Amino acid sequence: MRCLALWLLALLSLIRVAAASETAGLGSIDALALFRWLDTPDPPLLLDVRGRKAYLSGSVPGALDAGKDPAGFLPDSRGGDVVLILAEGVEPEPWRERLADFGYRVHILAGGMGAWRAAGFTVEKPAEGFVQPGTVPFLIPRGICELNEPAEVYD
Amino acid sequence: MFQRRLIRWLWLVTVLTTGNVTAGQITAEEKENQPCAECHAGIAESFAGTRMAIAASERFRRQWQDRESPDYCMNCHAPSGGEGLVCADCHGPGPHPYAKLDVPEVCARCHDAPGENTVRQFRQSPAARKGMNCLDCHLPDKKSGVDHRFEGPSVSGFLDNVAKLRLNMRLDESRGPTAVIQVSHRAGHALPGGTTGRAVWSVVKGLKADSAVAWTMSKRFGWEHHPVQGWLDRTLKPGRAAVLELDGLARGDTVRIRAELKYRFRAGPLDREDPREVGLDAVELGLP
Ligand code: HEC
Ligand code: HEC
Ligand code: HEC
Ligand code: HEC
Ligand code: HEC
Repeated sequence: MRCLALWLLALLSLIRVAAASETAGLGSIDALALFRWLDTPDPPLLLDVRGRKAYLSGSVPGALDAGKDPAGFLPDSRGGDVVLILAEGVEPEPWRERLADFGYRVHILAGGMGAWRAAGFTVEKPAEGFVQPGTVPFLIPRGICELNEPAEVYD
Repeated sequence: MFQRRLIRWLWLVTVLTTGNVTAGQITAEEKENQPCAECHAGIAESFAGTRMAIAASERFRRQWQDRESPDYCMNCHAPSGGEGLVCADCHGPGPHPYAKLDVPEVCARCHDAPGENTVRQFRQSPAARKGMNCLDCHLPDKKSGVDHRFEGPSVSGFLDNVAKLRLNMRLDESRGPTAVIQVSHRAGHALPGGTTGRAVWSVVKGLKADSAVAWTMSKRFGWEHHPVQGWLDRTLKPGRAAVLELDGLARGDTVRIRAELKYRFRAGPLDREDPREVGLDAVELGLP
């Protein structure tokens, strides 16, 4: 009996959590739910649409800078789920329409970067970890399996 | 000779009829004096088919015997001598009962060396947070109790759907179209996992109307060796997509771009052929 009550309690709290993320707004997702979603084998595509400066000053790890103008963004046609990181006060509708045209299901990070930061999740400065293809010459090693000898310089 | 065969035969009948092997039917002495395969035939057979079992094959030895310190290599490739790993390299010297192995600790000895951090990366992966371990992905049939196949990228099909490319375009007024690419993967550690001998390449090509290649830009993910800093980890981390941006796409009559992701079994440059290369993903997008 005690056991059953505990199960019910656990179930109720689960439902409450689910409801909480729903009330964040239609099609929106809270920071914790996004964090969990990103931690699955099928994460959504993350688009930061706050503009270059805001993007470079720190974004959700893995987010792409899609620019500020929905008409100036061309997604691939693979569709799927996309989560938008909007600047405060920006209307999501133009983005929603643009992406829906390419077959995307659009979700919005409730509270934007502010909510992500407040939740204490990692903020990445894309400029730091940014990979610039082909810009730096680098050594390709033969590997530990070949006694650490650098094998060839490649650029 | 005949007697030994008879015993073995009788034992087999017992196993087959009871469907189980129990300690009572076999003396401790028997267990320690016979090759493991005598009793653990299924396991021995499935392990014999792995790369680990032939990690120091004849060919490997011929190729590497003139190295200065073959011992260093054999620490991982054949710690007990022979063609490759044997049972004791993971299970210890025995005797029965063998302790239950701690995974991934037991793998770390060889899969977490300098220039190799498969186990460390695993600990920070979504897979680990979900409570999975190495065996969930590398022993496809581990529930059977006999599976020791330890499958990896050398097994065809293993790399299916492992990584995904997203190719988008941003139209900056000042810079012209910029390709915004995201690379994500679902391995339970970095991609490529394992040692420095593997690499993953993203290759982006500008294509003309007749599909001729106008330009190519490539980026390598894997280990690099810096003359001063030593090993640099440039692998794709688990659970965190990597982002690439490329501009200057319109040059050379380019009408569309194609992005490819390739898994290579050799560390070196792309123009050196790798017959085992596997395409992980590819996607195209027309220039506006
Ligand atoms: C690369 C490491 C490795 C090698 C080499 C290896 N094993 Fe295992 N073995 C494991 C792991 C991991 C498990 C599962 C964890 C455990 O039960 O301790 C296991 C489990 C077992 C079990 C218990 C199965 C069960 O159902 O409980 C037996 C028996 C066994 N191994 C026998 C062998 C024999 C015989 C060989 C040599 C042919 C061998 N192993 C080689 C890693 C290895
Ligand atoms: C004469 C048969 C026999 C031989 C030879 C034998 N085993 Fe076993 N082994 C068994 C049986 C039976 C079990 C089932 C557990 C038990 O009853 O002790 C077992 C269990 C195991 C287990 C699971 C853990 C445990 O101890 O219960 C491991 C690991 C193992 N054997 C490894 C080996 C290795 C490695 C060798 C070779 C060095 C080997 N065995 C040789 C019969 C044998
Ligand atoms: C979620 C599934 C998953 C888990 C968990 C996982 N792996 Fe992997 N592993 C892969 C995939 C997929 C590849 C191929 C792509 C790559 O190289 O990352 C791979 C590749 C490897 C390789 C490279 C082999 C080669 O030939 O280059 C090694 C070694 C390896 N894994 C060992 C481990 C070890 C040790 C663990 C536990 C600490 C582990 N893996 C956990 C999926 C997994
Ligand atoms: C004694 C050293 C050693 C230990 C311990 C060890 N491995 Fe390996 N492993 C190797 C070597 C060496 C290779 C490369 C073999 C080759 O490709 O020649 C390898 C290759 C692999 C591969 C790649 C197979 C493929 O098809 O490409 C996987 C997966 C793997 N190991 C998983 C594991 C797991 C899981 C454990 C722990 C249960 C483990 N290994 C323990 C040395 C070891
Ligand atoms: C710390 C453990 C370790 C040491 C030490 C080590 N290797 Fe390896 N080696 C591996 C593993 C693990 C692999 C599997 C491929 C991978 O993970 O990249 C491998 C793969 C290889 C391969 C490629 C096999 C294939 O399938 O493509 C060669 C060749 C090789 N090693 C040679 C050597 C030589 C020569 C040495 C000594 C100078 C050496 N290794 C030392 C762990 C080791």
